[in-house]
Amino acid sequence: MSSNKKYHQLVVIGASAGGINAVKQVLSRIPMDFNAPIVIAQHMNSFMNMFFIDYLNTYTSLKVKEANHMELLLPRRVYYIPPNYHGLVEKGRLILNADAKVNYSRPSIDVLFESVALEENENAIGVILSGANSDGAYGMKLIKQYGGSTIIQNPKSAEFSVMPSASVMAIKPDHILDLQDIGAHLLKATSL
Amino acid sequence: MASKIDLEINDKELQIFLEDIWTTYNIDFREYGKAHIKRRIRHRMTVSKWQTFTEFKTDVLQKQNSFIDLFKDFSINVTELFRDPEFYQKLYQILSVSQKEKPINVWISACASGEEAFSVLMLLEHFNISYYQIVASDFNPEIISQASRGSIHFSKMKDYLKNLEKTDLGIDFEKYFTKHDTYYVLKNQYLEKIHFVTHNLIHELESPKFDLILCRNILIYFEKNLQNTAVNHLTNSLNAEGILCLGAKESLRFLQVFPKYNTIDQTHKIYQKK
Repeated sequence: MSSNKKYHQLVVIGASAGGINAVKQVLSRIPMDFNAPIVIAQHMNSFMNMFFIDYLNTYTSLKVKEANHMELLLPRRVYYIPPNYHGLVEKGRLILNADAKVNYSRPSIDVLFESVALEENENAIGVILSGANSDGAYGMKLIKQYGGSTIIQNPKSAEFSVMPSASVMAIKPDHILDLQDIGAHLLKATSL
Repeated sequence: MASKIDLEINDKELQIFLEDIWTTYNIDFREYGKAHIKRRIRHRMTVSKWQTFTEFKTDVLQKQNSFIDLFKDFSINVTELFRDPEFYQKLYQILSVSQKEKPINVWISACASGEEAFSVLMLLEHFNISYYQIVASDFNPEIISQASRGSIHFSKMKDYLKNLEKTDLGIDFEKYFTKHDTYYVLKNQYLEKIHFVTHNLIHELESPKFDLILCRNILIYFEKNLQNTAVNHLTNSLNAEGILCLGAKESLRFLQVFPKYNTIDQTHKIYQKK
């Protein structure tokens, strides 16, 4: 597959329980000239997904959509990995994968983050938001190990603190931020 | 500690490795999607504690047992009874306009542990189709031998029955399966209607033509050329007006055979050969 990459940095977000509000808060603070694609792995019921995407689109100036297999990732877009698939990244595209659940989850945050850590190296930005299990901690460790940056929602102010706490314990993150500060931080981190 | 392992896999080195597997073991993964292949290699490296891809690669090419472990990781073994219940609803509707007396020949390609074949069987039985037979194939001989036992571990039943209920077709699971210890086993009178064969979609299947082919969630693992090869083979094996079903996130649209089909259901990726 030839590389046709349309971005420099790639933001990946992992969220679970409490994620709906958390993602909304983050995306609503990102302006439309945002310079990177955002890929989200969020544990969700399959019937929730399309409804949630419509809902998010009313709160953000970015374009939110469900990712297709082989979709070319573009800046200013937010891609949801569809329920019951894992997401991988290869040469600027999102690849869907129907392998077994990881951490009882599909999509699994660890699966997405591992792929992005190794594919994007220092251009990966990993974000962990509210959630009630520890999916994402291993993936954050790899993003850090391969030179990317790591942001974790402050567990103290997270709706569900298990997931951000697990990541905080697994790595020394670059930033622990309250929800309302994450959007502005992402904007700064991608404006080069 | 996992962080000592270097999971970096160089693209050129990977391509050479897949060529070497082909020449050493005569199994061709060269046109599998590289993102999937890397994920599985990284998994195997982590489990077997190899420090670098170079070390791992040397081991796989030298020791057949190491290759067999990797081969198992590469084969796609994830399936469910009535996976995507709405798809089965739709398929049932489509079958309901066909004649019940006409024999139906079905091919479940890449059947893994067989759940999709069991699902289609229950669908056809439920619809009182008089004459049918099902060919269920997979390229992994071990999984085919597992599938041919017609068994489902009870730990999976909760999810499976949830799927079955969502189809809203009123299919009675216990009419088809009986419980033995920790397994539910497909009754013999049904199991004998399924022929299990080892077959790789890289090749044509030598068989009479089919009226219904399911090939779901396998094309996403292939690169474009191999997708075309596999779907060309499926198309050659399908009767005119036969039905081809792909996975929800797969499509014929960008493949060579697309003009040979009408799209019956875009959401559930159900196509009919012209």
